[in-house]
Parts: sequence; structure tokens; C-alpha cells
Amino acid sequence: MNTASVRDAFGGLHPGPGYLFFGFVIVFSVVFLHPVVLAISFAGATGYAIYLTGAKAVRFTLALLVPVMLLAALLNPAFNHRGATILFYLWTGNPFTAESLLYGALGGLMLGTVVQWFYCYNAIMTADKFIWLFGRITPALSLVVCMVLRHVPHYKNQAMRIMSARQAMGIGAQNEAFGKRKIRISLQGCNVDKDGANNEAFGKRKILRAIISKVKDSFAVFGILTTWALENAIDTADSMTSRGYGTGKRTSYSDFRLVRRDIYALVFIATAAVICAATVASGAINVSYFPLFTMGVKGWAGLMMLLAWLAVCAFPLVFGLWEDAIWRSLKSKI
Amino acid sequence: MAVFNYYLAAVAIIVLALLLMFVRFEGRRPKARELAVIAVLTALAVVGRAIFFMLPQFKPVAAIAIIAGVALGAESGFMVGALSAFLGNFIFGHGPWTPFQMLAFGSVGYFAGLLFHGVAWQGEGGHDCAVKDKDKKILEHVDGAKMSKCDEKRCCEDKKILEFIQAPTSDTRRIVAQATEALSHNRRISSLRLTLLCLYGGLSVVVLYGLIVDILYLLFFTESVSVQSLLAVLATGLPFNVLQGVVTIFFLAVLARPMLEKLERAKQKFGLMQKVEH
Repeated sequence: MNTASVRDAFGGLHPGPGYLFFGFVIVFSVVFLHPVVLAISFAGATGYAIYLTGAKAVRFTLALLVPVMLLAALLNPAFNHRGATILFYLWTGNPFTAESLLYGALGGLMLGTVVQWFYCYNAIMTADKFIWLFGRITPALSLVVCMVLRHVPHYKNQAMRIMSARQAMGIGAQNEAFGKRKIRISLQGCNVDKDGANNEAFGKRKILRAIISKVKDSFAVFGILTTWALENAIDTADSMTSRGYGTGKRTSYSDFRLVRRDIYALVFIATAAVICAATVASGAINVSYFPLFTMGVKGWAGLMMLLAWLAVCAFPLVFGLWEDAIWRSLKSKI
Repeated sequence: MAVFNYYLAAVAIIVLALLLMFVRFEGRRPKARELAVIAVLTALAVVGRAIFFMLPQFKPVAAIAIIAGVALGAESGFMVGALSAFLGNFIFGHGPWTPFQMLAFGSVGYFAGLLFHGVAWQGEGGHDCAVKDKDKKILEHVDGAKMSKCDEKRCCEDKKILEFIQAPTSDTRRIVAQATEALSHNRRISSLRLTLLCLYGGLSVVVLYGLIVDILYLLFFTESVSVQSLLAVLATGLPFNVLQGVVTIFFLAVLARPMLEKLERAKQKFGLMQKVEH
């Protein structure tokens, strides 16, 4: 179920720092629409995403994120006409303002940043970390979550077994035209014939029939799977009950131990979060879009906030690279 | 800046709503069997979503949440909907949309339970299915005798009743035969109800799910939250929502009858979801 094949230093930490990090970074990126803050956050997220999944992350960013961000940038000035700098008038007669465009662009950047952080989140925060977080607070719910996580691959296997059993019995879509290979063979057979047009239609009809029978077969398999799954689940539940489920407080096992570097990471992220929140609250760093765009970073406090933010956003990437470098240097000595 | 705080506020409200439902669920101290059935339905929804992932909007999640609500009650429908959205996103990716999807699918299942649960199995089509209470009890024990091995007291009762049934009285045989037929008839879902269910499925996906999830895009894409921009976002999302509504109707038309029958059978056979403790 979890496709997290990625092993990196930050993902290898305890879930505590992980949740604190993503919680802080995502909420802060959403709350504070400041160009510099967002640019740092987006750079950190993209760098880490590329570090984690390489070319896949680049493709994701270019093909999906950038278009959505551009769309968001253009959508806002179409609806929002505030701002002092009028670029031109829309066909509706409303002004198209530079401030609104900038605001839309930053909104798009914010969206892109959040999605990018979630991309990293999906890569390293696996379901067992979620169970660690909620196993003790909501035992029944996380038990259901556990069961589902186990069921999903189990059901996929069972569906395969049902299908092959049906195949062996001679029922199901397989016997008409199963898979693409057989369809292609039947098509090739049609093309060889002289009466091309007629046979092409025949071939199409055959494909359609194959698809319909495949869908029908899928639903039959799904039905069989449902019956089996329900019986199986009742068995599981009875066995749980006979082993004393519900008689006492439920404990939760997790594989994570809080070691020294997890505590360091926790303290680091928490300190940076406090610095950032305090600076923004004091107004040492501010931004305003309407009617005129202004942006200010006041004194040491503002600068310190930006530094702390940079440190947090770069933390997973730098930490990962640092650990990789250590690993390489150790390896070369062996 | 205000917009993005709207987003956070919306997320906060949704998380609170979800938490309330989850706390209620925890507070009920659900039995292992109930958890198991909810887990099965959720897993089926997730697997179904994974099977059809290459077709856009072709996901059975709403349909299965509705079926869960109808068969097991509003709360279970909510749990199945919300959990399938949440766990499915471990495959398809979490994002700012996760809480919105959870609430949307959850409420689709919840209202299905409110509207259809408990009504669906009584008085089907005017058939003579008015099994008397006494007969019903006998039948329950006939069905239940096969499975209840754990409870001593119940076993004794079952024995007595089995003896009673096995006694060659034509009267008892008649009652059992009648009741069995009535119950099997009761399991069947009438075409009218199926149509209503499909109608509800399509409407709820377009209206409930569409509204909740599109609000997310409203909060993200436009700076000014107004009726005008809400309508614009809804109009943009409408084709997708209608497509998903049609898909849900399709899934309900195909899956509702067999799955509800299977669930009902499991409920009768194993005594699931009973409020009375024995």
C-alpha cells in the first residue's frame, strides 16, 4: 500500500519531528502570503522533492504544478479588480490590475508550495507513522485504518486468485477475448481478409464486446470478493473477540524510538517555529497588496525570521545531503 | 491575505466536524465485528478506486459509502466514506483536498444512512412478509444456531429451539418455511428502491460532494469570496461532478443490489450490528 521506497535521513527520523515539520511548514506557507517567504518555501519543497524522487518530481512540477500555478495567477485578476495600477481593461469593462495579477501569481505559488510539500509528505510520511500518531488517541479508528491497510493488498491478491479460478473453470472474459493480445490477434486476422471495411466494423464490435465482457467479469469478481471478504472479516473479528478485544485498554505498537537526534530535530523545528510566529506577530515583516503593493522587512528581527524560515525549509534537503556525504565518506574508507 | 485564512478556517471547521464524528464512534466502543465490516467496505472502496484509476472520476467510493450507509446506518456510512477518501489518498496522494474529500464522501454516506437505513428492508412490495415476532425469533435462532458457539446460554436456548423445531409438528415446519421465504424475500431490494437509491446517489454526488470539494477551489483560486466567484467555480466544476454523479449511479445500479443482499445476509447470519447485547 505504501509506495515509500524512498529511504532518506529526514524520513528515517521519528514521526514526531516529521509531523511537526510538515504541520508548521504547510500552515505557515498558507497563512502568510509573502513573496520572499513563499519563494523560500517553494524552493525548499521542490529541492527536497527532487532529492527524494528525482526525475519524477521534476516531471510532476513541470507538467502539473506550473500549469496550475499559472492558471491561478490568471484567474484572480479576472474576478478581482482592486489595485491602483491598471494594466488594461477587460472585455467586461473591468480593469485588469497589476496588483491583482501579482496577488494571483502569489496565490498560485502558495498553492504550488503546499502541493509540493504534500508531495514530499506522501513520499516519506507512511501510514505506520500515522498509526503512531493516532494509535493511542483513537484506538478503534486506527484499528480500522490498520485493517484496511492490510486488506488492500490482500484483496488485490484474492481478486487475482478468484480470476484465475474462474479462468480454470472456463467462466469469465478470458474465454472470449482476454487482454489486449488476443484482441490484436483478432484484429490482424480481420485485416488480412479482403473485405476490409466490413471486417473493420466487425473487429470494432468484437473489441467492444470484449470490453463489456471484461467489465462484467470484473463486477462478478468484485461480488465474489465481497462475499469472501465479509466472511473473512467476521472470522477475524471473532478471533479478535476471543483473544480479548474490547476487554481492556488497547495498546499500540510502533517501531519508532525517540533518540537524541530526533530530539535535536524537534527542538530545532520548534525554535524556528516560535521565531517565525513571533516575528510575524510583531509586524517586523509585512506585506500588503491592495491598493498598492508594499513589502517590508524591518531590522534584525525580520532578517532573523527569514533566516530561521530558510533554515527550516532547507532542513530536510540539507540533512539528507549531509547524511549521504557522511555515508559516502565512511564507505570510501572501508 | 484574507482568502487563505478562509482556507485555514474551512479546514479547521472540517477537522472539527470529522473529529466529532470520530469521537462519537470511539465513544460508542464499537464491537470487533462492526469494525471488521467497516474495514471491509473501506478496503473494497479503496481497491475499487485503485482498479479504475486510469479512468478520470471513475471511482466507486461514493457508491460504496452509500451502500454502507443504507446497510449499516448513517454513522457507518460516514466512517466508510471518510476513511476511504483518507486511505485512498495514501495511494493517490494527500494534499490540501484531503479533509474536503473526507467530509464530502462521509456526508454522502451519512445522508444515505439517514434516508434509507432501516426502511429498505421492511414491507417490500406488499408481499406477505409480515413475519410475527415469535416466528422471527425462531428463525433468528435457526440462522443463529449455526454460528453461535461462544455463548453458553445462547447455545442452550438454541438447543431447546432446535428440539422444538425438529419435533415433527407440521405447525412449526410451516412457520419456519414461511419465515425463511419471507426473510429471503426481504433481502431482495425492490426496483423502486434501487431507482430511488441511484437518484439519491447521483444527486448527492453532484450537490453535496460537488459543493464541498469545489469550495476548496474557490478558496484557493480566487481572492474575493463572493456569490459570483462561487457560481463561476461551481460552473467550472459541474461537468466533472455530473460525470462523477453518472459514474456513481452506474456503480449503484450494478453493485447496490448484490452488495446490500450480501451485507444483509451477513447481518442475519452473524447477528451483526445488533443493538441488544446478549
